[in-house]
Amino acid sequence: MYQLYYLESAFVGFPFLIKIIIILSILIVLIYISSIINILFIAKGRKKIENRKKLIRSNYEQKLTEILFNPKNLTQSTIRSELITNEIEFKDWSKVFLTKLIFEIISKKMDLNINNYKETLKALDLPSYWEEQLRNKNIKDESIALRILDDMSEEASSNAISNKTISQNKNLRKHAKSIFMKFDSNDAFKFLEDDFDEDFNPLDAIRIHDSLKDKSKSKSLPPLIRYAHSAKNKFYIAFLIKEIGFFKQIDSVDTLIDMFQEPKTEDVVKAQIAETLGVLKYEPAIPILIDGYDFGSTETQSSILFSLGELGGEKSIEFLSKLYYETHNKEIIIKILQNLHLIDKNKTTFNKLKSSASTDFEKSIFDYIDKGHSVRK
Amino acid sequence: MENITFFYQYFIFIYSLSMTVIYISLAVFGYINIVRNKRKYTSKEEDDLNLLPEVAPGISVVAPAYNEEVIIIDNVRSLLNLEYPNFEVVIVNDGSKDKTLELLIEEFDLVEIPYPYIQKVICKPIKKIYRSNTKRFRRLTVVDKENGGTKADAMNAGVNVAQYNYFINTDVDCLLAKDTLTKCILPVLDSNTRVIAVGATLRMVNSCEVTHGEITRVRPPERVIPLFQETEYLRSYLLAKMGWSMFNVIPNVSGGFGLFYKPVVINAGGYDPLSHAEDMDMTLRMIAYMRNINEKYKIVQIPDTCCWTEGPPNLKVLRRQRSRWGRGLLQIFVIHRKFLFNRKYGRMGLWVMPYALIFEFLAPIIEFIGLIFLFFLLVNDQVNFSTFWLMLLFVYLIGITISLVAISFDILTKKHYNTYREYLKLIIFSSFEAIVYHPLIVLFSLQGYIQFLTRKNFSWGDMTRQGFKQTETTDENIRPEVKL
Repeated sequence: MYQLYYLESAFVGFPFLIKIIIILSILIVLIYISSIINILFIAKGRKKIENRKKLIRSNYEQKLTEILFNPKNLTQSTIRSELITNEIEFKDWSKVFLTKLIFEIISKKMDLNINNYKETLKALDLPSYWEEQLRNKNIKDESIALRILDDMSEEASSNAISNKTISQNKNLRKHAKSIFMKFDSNDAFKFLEDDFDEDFNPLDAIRIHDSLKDKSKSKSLPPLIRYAHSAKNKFYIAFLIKEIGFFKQIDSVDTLIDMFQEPKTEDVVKAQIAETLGVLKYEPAIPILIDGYDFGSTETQSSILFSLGELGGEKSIEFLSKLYYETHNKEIIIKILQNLHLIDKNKTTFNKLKSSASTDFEKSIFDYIDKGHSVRK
Repeated sequence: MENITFFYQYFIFIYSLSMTVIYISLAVFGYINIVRNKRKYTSKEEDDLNLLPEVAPGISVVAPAYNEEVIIIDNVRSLLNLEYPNFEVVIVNDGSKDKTLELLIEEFDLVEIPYPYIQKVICKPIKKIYRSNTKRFRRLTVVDKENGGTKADAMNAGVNVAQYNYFINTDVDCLLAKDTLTKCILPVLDSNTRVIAVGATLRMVNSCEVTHGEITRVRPPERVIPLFQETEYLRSYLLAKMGWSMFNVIPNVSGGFGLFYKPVVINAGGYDPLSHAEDMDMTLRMIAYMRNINEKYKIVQIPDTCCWTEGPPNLKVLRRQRSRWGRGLLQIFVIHRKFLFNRKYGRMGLWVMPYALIFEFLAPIIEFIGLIFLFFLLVNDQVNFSTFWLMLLFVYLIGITISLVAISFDILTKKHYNTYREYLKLIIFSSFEAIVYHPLIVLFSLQGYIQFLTRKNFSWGDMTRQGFKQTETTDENIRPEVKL
């Protein structure tokens, strides 16, 4: 205070603007000091983390490796007695680093004993610790916990995840919704309904895809067309249709074709339907795709060409050959010839078109594809 | 005269006050943005993307090379070793006069392919296109073209050949972090609005340990100029751009490193070979295009250091770099004057471009006039020394505090240097920046303005991309605008 009074007295009688500068200078000095403190605080925090990591690693790495990769199934009590040598309860920070150490160890080797892994998590009480963290009202803790539980997969309770599916924080909410199906055994796919989330984006699509892949390992997935049919978000519908192709849900083709033929269907959805029909190798779709070509957007046309390349057949070859002469878009011409080359087994049509190529550009496409340099996207 | 003195002093007061308020605000927003980014995107998201190649969007890494025989092999290997499941590397040999192309052909077992080349954006003619016969180099495409004299021309050739919708614009003498592609694509995926560009932090490779094109130990530069530039870059990327990014008003994605959405780049006409600031010019034209077609867009800045580049090792190169930036900035305001105070361009037209005009373009002029004015007042004994020292201290404090805040943000993002002693070096040197480095920057920027106005030293080709000998390699193309 003394310094402040001194400062004030030193500038008594100075204009108002000078006083503002003094106040701002003091503010800036405070920011400077707080930045230094911040750096020291970060440095100290990181040092503490490093020390703790080292401690956990030195105490548990070897023991955990022996347990997790032991071919013999161990019980929870055995694991507990191996790992916990005294009765002092684990501190929270040790659980954090133990979890990370376990993930690190299992990512290095292939021959993990799943039983011992699950029992170890339970013995150390890790799933319940992270579930508790997820109930915190701190976004940072919740986000970390959600990621850890996602990595733990089925060892966590779906109730803890479920609570976060109504979070006000959209990132947390969407992440929780997308991984919910990994944990729930009753109504695992409920969040696929109603457009998944009002803020659905491609990152959510990747997370849902990951969960679907995970879930499909234990049991076949429900028909995804059901959710696509009731959805309104065109990007979400297109995503589900792509997944239908990925998970080979061939029973959905009739609905897909109806959607493709529906004039009101969005271009992005039509394009994805065309591609999925090709991925599903649904040959009866060929005439429908050919009929839809002229009315489709460039994106849909590209997907139809891709699909015809997947489906093959004489009709496709005939159509692509005809299209080659009618198309002016150079990128589309390359796609036509790429797909034609793929399905024209004896290369009769391809070579016929090649011999009729008149420009250097056209000739280079044929050479490019013929010599196997082309990459079909 | 007394009136002029009075007016000028008040003008400077308001100017520096506004600048302080803007800097502090940007620091606050930058901090919020960094924390948000770190919370949203972790190694978990990156791992997910790497483990699911079927859903990872393809990315083309486009890097022009001109007379790069010393580093070309190691750096191309480094690009090919990036950790991402779905990418290609397009090296554009811009008519090198040394053995750049020969070395590439030999090392990567390249053969000429009959490529159906489509010119979507204008550039000098392509001579040949090469791909590797060896499977492990299948991601590599080398484009051999006639020298266009500018990076912009070479980039356009790369854009024409790039097969994916997103491409990285970088230089072959830049080193990218291994996880660059995942880090850059995550904000693109995590958005419902079309992300047309993503910028990241660049820093100096000078004094870092590099083995076979990979950085094995990060150190602050030993030489003075790159050391000052390291802090300058941190201020620009972590404070200014992270702050502006909160409001989607980044006016420039650096020419040294950036991820771009190809269809918009093509529709906006590609890079302009006649521009002295082709990066800012491209960014502004992309914004203008999106505004014209009335489509929403985002330009995102991420705090992570993704690219290391060699800073000017001496005054000569610094002068060349900064006078070019000066010419570029003035050229931007001549060409893109339609942006200024134009409601049609939203916040970019009403906030950022006026900011860049007043606080970036005019700053060297105002500082220079201020210096002359100070001499005049000193000669006439009109200086009140008690307020003079106070004002000087105030301006000095702003400079060192902003630098320190930027360094603390860098530590918060990731501790790149092994020891905190190395950060201390950065902090100590930033205390001398206002006295040693900044006056030079003012001088060189003014030189650039004069060159532009008098059309002297105006050969784009010579100044835009020099032969990149290891020691002469500079980041002339890398403008960390918006500067602080």
